[in-house]
Amino acid sequence: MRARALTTLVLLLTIFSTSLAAQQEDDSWFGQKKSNPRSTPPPPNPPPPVPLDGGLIALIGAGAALGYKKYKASQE
Amino acid sequence: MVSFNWNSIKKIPQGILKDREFVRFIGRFLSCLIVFTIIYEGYLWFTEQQRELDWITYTISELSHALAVTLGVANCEFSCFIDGCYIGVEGKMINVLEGCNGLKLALVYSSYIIGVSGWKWQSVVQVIFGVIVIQCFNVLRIGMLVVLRDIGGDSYFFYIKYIFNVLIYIAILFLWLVKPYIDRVLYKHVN
Repeated sequence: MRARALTTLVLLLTIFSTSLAAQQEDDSWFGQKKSNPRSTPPPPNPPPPVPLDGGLIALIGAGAALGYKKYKASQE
Repeated sequence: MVSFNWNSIKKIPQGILKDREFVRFIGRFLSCLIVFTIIYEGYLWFTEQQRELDWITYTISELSHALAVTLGVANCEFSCFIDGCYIGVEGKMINVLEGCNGLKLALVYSSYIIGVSGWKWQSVVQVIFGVIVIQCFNVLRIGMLVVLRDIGGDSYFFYIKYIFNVLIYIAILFLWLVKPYIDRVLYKHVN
């Protein structure tokens, strides 16, 4: 019974220590990530769009206001 | 405390209906705008189904490219795809999408003209003239933006966002304001 408990404990400790070691970064030469010494160029900016229809609602409102002013003036 | 008075609410539409001329104008203006927009959206849907770029955006882009070349932009390239056209020097291009072709502004302009005068040949003449003016402004705007982008600097962002757009809107308002004078000339010509 005691031997089984000891075996389980050792097994658990082994698994735990292995996972901890895997989480730690390897600072040795083998563990160093090989990065490209030449930095990759940034992606080119996409051409900017040149929209024109941003003020459509304002233009419709201006048209309605102009029409109202015109009819008011014609009534007077 | 503001009291809820049903009679005063009932008077509001009566007050508006008194200006029957104005109500007719609004009816014509909005109905024209809705019909034109439906036709235009239908055309856009059709070209999308054909996997093509609409003719208006293509033509405006082509003319803007020609203007930029005329204004001295060396190696100015022009390429079109389903979603829009690219104009300018490699690495300094601008993207002309459907919303940049100025046709929606032209539709609002035309709706106002028909809303005020109704369906007459004088209105049709003014609509054709106005649409040509708006599109000329738009070609000039995009051509100038290609030139400004080629010259360099960040100033062209300012021109994209404010100057050129405001100029086109002012041009439309100006055309609306001079409409009575154009009417006078056209009707005098008829008489």
